[in-house]
Amino acid sequence: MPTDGFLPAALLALVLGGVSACGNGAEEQQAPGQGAGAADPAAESAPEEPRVAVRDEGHEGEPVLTLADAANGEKQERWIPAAQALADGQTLIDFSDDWTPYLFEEQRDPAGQLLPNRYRRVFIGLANDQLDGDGEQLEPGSKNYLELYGIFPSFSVLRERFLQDEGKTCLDPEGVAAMQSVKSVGFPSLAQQRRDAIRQPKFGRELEAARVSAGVATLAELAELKPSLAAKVKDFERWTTTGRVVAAAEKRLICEGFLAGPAEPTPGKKPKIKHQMGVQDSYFSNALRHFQQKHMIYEGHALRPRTLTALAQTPLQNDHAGLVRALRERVVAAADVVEDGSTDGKAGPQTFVSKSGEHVPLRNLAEEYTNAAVAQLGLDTPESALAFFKRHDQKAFKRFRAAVKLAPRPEYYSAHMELSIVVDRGDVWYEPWFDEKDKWRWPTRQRFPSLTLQVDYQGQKVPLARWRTTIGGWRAEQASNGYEYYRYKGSDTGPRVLRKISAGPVWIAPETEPIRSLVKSKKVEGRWQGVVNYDALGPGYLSAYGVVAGYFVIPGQGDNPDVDRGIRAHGSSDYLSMYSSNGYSHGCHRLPNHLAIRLYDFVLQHRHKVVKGDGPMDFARQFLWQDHVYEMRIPSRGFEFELDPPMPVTVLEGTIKGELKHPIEGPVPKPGVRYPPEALPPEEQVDAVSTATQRARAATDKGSP
Amino acid sequence: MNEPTSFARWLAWADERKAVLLPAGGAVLVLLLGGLWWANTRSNPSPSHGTAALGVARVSADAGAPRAVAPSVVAPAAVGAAAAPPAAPAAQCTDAGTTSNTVKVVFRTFPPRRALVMWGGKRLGFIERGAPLVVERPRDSGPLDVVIRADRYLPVHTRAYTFNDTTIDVRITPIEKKDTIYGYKEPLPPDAGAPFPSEMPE
Repeated sequence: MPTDGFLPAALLALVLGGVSACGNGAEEQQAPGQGAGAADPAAESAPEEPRVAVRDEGHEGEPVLTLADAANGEKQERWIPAAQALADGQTLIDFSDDWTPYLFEEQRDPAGQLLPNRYRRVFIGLANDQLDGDGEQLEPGSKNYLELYGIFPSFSVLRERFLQDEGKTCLDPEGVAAMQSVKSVGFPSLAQQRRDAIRQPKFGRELEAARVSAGVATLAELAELKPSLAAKVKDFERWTTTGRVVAAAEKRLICEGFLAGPAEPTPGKKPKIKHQMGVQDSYFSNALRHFQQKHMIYEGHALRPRTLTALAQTPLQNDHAGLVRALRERVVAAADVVEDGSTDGKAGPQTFVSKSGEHVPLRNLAEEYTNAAVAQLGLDTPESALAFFKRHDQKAFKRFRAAVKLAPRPEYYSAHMELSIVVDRGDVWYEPWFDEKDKWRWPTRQRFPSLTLQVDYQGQKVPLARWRTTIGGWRAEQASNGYEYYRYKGSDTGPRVLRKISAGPVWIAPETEPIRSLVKSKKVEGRWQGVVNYDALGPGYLSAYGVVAGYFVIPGQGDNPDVDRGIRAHGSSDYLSMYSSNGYSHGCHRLPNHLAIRLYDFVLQHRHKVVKGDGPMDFARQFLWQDHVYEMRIPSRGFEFELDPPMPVTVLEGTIKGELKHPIEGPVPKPGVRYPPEALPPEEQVDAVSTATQRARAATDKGSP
Repeated sequence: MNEPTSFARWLAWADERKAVLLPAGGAVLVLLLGGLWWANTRSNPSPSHGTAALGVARVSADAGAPRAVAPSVVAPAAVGAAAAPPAAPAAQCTDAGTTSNTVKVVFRTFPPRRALVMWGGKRLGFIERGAPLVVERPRDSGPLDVVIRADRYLPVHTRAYTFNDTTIDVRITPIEKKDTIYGYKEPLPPDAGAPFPSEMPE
C-alpha cells in the first residue's frame, strides 16, 4: 500500500523485525481502544500499518523488481530487497502465479495456525489454467477465460499468450476496415438469414442492372436518382456490409482457435453438424462468447461495438489490454484502494472538503495507480510487455514482486473508515410482467439500481464507488406439489447492516428453487452422468453468489439475533444481468464479479473484523428428478469474515412505477399451466383459477398485498 | 417295542461313520467359505482395474473407524503439459505434521442394502449389508460424483468431497415410495386441475 510518506522508519523496523500483522491473531486491524493513542478517537483515522500477507512472511529480504535509469538514459531492471523498497515508500505489486485477492489469501487464527480456505486452491488453479471449477485437472489444451467471473489470468498464462501471439496478426486490412466501418451488426434469426441469403443476391442483380441502365457509378447515386429504390439499396448494402463483417470476424475467430474452420468432406462419412460459414449461428455466437470472455467484454454474444473493436485489434494488442486488466486488479489490491471514477458525474469528478477547507476532486485511483505501475515498469506497449515476458521465464512468476512509487492516497484514508453502503433500487415495477399467455413484457426503467460505497469524512458522505446492481423481480418458484408458480421476489428496503462476508460462499438453494435448475449433466470418468448442479450452489465462480457475498441483515436488538431475509450483495455468474435493462435477481444485489471482490477486499481492510475461517456445515438434502434421487451435499458455508462493528447499509425504496404500490404476495399460477386440484399447503395457497392479472387487480383494490 | 423312526436310523448310520463324515463336512465348509471370500474379492475392483488414483477397501461394519484392508493409492495421473497444480490447503497445513496426503471416503446406505457405487464410467465397488465401501483418494483432489444403485430402490446421485475423511450415509428409497421424496410431481387427474384462462368464463 502507499505509505503516504509516513513513518518509513517504523515500516522498515516492522518489516525487518519480522512482526507479522497476521501472526497476532484474527483481529487484523488495531481494534479501538488498543495500541498507541488508543483512547484518542483520532487514532481511528491514523494511517494504516502495512499488512504483510501470510505468504510474504519472512520474505522481507527477497529481491523485488524496479526500473532505474541506466547510464545510456534508458530504463534498466534492477532488483532491490523488498524491505528497502518499502522503506523508500514504494508499493509492492505481486506478479506471482499464486496471488489471490485478499479474500482468498491465507489467514491465521488467533493461535497463529493457518485457516484452510477450500476455494483458494481452486481459485489459483483457475487463474493458472490448471484446474476446472470443481478443482479437477483441466482438460489438456483447455483455457479458463474467467475475467468476467472475477478471476484474472496469472502472469504465467499472460506470458504464454504473449509468446504464442508474437507475430500472429489474424487480421487483414480489408477485414479491419470492414469491422471498423460499422458500430455493430444485427443478429437476425437463422430463418431470416436464410431468407436473406436467397433474396438479397437477387436484389443485388436487379439493382446492378438498374444502376447500369441509369448510367450511375454507385448504388448510392442510384438511390438518389430513383428514390423508390432507396430502401432496397439501403437493405442490400446493410446485408453486404454485414456479410463482410461476419466474414472478417469468422476469419479472426478461426485464427485464434475459437471457431472451427470449414472441414474437408470425407467420402462416405456424414458430415458433422458444424458452423456454416457466413452465418451467425450458435457456433459463431459461442465463439464470440469465448472471445468476449477472454477479453472481458460485457456484451451480448453478437458483433457489438466493443467486441468489434477487440476483433479489429491484433492479438498482441488484446494481450496487452489483458495484461493491464490483470495488473489493475493487483495494483488495486496492493494499494488497497477502491475509487475507480464510477462516481463521476457529467460535470466530472465529485469533490469533498479537505481539512484545509479546499474542495478536492475525487481521484480515480484504480486508473491512476495502474497507469503509474505500467509506466514505471515499462509495460506501456504490447512490444515492451512482450520484451518483459521474454526477459522473465515462466518459472520466475512462481514468486515475483515489483516495486512502484505511487502518489499518496487521499486524506480520508485511515485504518478504520466509517464506510457505509447505499443501495438505490431505481425504478420499481410490481405489476406482473407476463400476460395471460405467459408472454413476458419487461417493464421500462429509466433509472437502474445502484450500489454506492461511501465514507463519512468530517461530516460529509464521500462516495467512493458507485456500481450498477440488481433488485428482485418476478421469478419461477417450485411449490411443494412439484409444480412451478410465479412469485415476486422483491428486495426489501430500510436500514440494514453488513456483518458477514463470505469468500467462496455457498448458496443453499431453497426448496422453492425449480428442480430443473438443480440438476445438470457432467462428464465423470469418461461417462456423462446426472449430478446436482453444484455450479449454481458453489463455492465457485458459477455460483449464484459468485465468489464472494456480503450478508445484509436487520441487526438484532439486545440479545436477539440478526434477522436475515436472505438478501446479499454478491458477485454473479450471470455477469450480464447487472448491465441489462431486463436484469433482475431473486432479491439480492448483484455486482460485477471483479467489483464485488474489490468492494469486499477494501471493506475488510478498512474495518475492524474477525477472521472466522471455514464455516463447516453438514448439509444434505434429497430431491427427485426423473425417477432418480439427487442428493445435495454441502460441507461448508464458505470462508467467513465478520465485521465488528457491522457496516451500515441503507436500501432505498426507489421510485415505484405503475399502479401497484406494493408487491403481490404468494405464488401466482403460471398462465397456461394445469395444476392438480389439491390445494398447496396453507402458506402457499393460491386461487388456482385466478390469473396473474386478476390477482394484480385484486391486490390493487385491497391497497395492500 | 416300537420300530425305530427313519430319523433315528439315520442318526445311528451317521454315528457309525462319524470318523469320515466330520472331516469331510469340515472340508466342504472351508471350500464354501473360501468360495464366498473369492467371489467377494472379485466384486471389488482393485485399483489396477480402472480406478486410477483410487484405493478401494472394505471394512467391517462394526469397526470403529474405517480400516482399510488393502489400501493402495496411486498418484494422480499427470494431465497435460501444464505445471503442477497448486498445492492443496492440506499441504499448507502440514506444519503440524499430522495431515495425511490421502483421505478415506466411506459409503454406506440406509437401510443397509447391497448397492453398487459407480463413479462415472468406473465401478468403485459394492456396499454390502454389513460392510461399507471405503475409497481412498488424494487429499483435496476434487469431488467424487457417484451414483449408488440398489435393487428395487431409486438410484441416488451424490457427491463426496476429498477435503478430509468423510462418511457418506445415503438414504435409499424403495421405488414404490418415490412419492415421499421432495420434487415428486403429483400426476394430474385426467379431468381435473385449473382450467386454462381461455377456458374461464368472462
